[in-house]
Amino acid sequence: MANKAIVTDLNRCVGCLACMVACKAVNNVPIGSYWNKVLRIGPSLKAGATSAHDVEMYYLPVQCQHCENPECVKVCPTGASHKLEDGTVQIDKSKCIGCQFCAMACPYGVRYLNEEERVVEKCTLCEQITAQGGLPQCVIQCGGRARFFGDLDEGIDSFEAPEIGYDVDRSYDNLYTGNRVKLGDMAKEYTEADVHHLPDVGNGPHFAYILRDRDWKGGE
Amino acid sequence: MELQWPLILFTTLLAWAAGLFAAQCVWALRGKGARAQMPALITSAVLLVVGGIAVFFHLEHWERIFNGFGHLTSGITQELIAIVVLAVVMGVCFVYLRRGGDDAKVPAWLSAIGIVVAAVLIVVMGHSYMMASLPAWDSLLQIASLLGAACGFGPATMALICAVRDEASDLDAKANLIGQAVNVVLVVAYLVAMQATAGSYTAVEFWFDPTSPTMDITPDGSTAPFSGASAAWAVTAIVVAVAGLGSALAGRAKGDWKVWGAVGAACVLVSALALRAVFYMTGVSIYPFF
Repeated sequence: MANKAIVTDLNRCVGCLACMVACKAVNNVPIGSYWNKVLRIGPSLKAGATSAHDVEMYYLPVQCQHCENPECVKVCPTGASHKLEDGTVQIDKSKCIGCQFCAMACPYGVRYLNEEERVVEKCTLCEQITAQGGLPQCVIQCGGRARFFGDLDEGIDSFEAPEIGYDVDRSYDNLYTGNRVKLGDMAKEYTEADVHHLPDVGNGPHFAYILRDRDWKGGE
Repeated sequence: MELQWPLILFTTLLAWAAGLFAAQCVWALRGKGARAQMPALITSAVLLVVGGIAVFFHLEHWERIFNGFGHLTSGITQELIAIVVLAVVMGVCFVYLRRGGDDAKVPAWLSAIGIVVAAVLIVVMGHSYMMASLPAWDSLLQIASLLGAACGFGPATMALICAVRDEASDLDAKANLIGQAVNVVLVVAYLVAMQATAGSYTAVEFWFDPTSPTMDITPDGSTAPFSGASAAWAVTAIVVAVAGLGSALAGRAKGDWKVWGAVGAACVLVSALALRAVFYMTGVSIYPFF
């Protein structure tokens, strides 16, 4: 059993929305639906601000958090929403009756009803790619090299993203299979207090966000 | 959240069916309304079936319902089990009533089981909507409000049926007064509980969603039942529930339960529908940004 997840270094995220676009393109996400959305949090006054211009903000990519105890799985009457051995939460569309209780039970509202297929959809963590050893498309395409994918059981320093630099092989095929850099080798120093999660109502969100020197908004 | 009318009708009609069945069991335990038992049983069975049909309109793929249906942690599965159990108890009641003719009596043990199973169905149904993601829903008073509706529906409908069958008794007034008063208290209590969750939602001061660049991020009152668009529904739920209590008082004073039973049931119906409308309107995720 693994616990695959994404860690986003918010100090590196430039809000380019490439992850959002890549997700829509590779997963054929219907118009009006988003399996991954980048929110701008702020601007907010800095701690000890002396003027209204003394502000800070950050971008926050939000998607299915592939939780430890997913509420969506609990409420699904047919087992269509289920947890895989790799710790990800997936939907078996052929079993989905479209009751949408999973969408109601998700604390983050990241599930959508596909109006055409009449089943609920959400981020699959690009299971079609990661099952073959690749990285999720949002990690591959990240413009700020802020997103890293890996197994929580091995610690977030082991999470990987495509390597950057002028002398690396950046061919499309190599994006999927090789050419990796680890978060622990690349990210600036951070402490435990810099690692945040979306609010937890007992579901245990697996995704983590690193935010240094700024105020994390919205609680955990 | 948008109003989910199939689910609103489902919960309301099931509360009615369970409330009426429980009421007829109370009447049977007290030795009243023997000739009203069969019509009451048929009415509650019809309500159960119509409520069951209503829920199918919510499902996008109802034809897949047995395609793995039965995940036990799911509230929907638990509801189905509770409905089947209630239907079985109703079936046993039917057999007893058919065998005994017009003066047939349902045994006390069966009446007691009927009351318990009807209450369990409502609790299970309400529990399936208790979700930590939706603070306004995640309250025991939400379940209690459905029990309150059943307490209002049951005696009012039973008194009406008894009046039609010329079997009026002192139980009509007593049960209706208690049932309608309980409904009023629980409607108000749940609305207050919903209002009290207003501070439970994640707040981040300013934020921006690039997919909805012109969205107004100022609070629209959707998390509180007594503000914004849901206020009218909330007030309706309370006023009409109080009118239901008034109908019970009028019934006791005038004794004409054909009229006041029908008025009481209609009031509970409108109040329950309005309360469920508020329920969906305040069904806002704890993280309301995506």
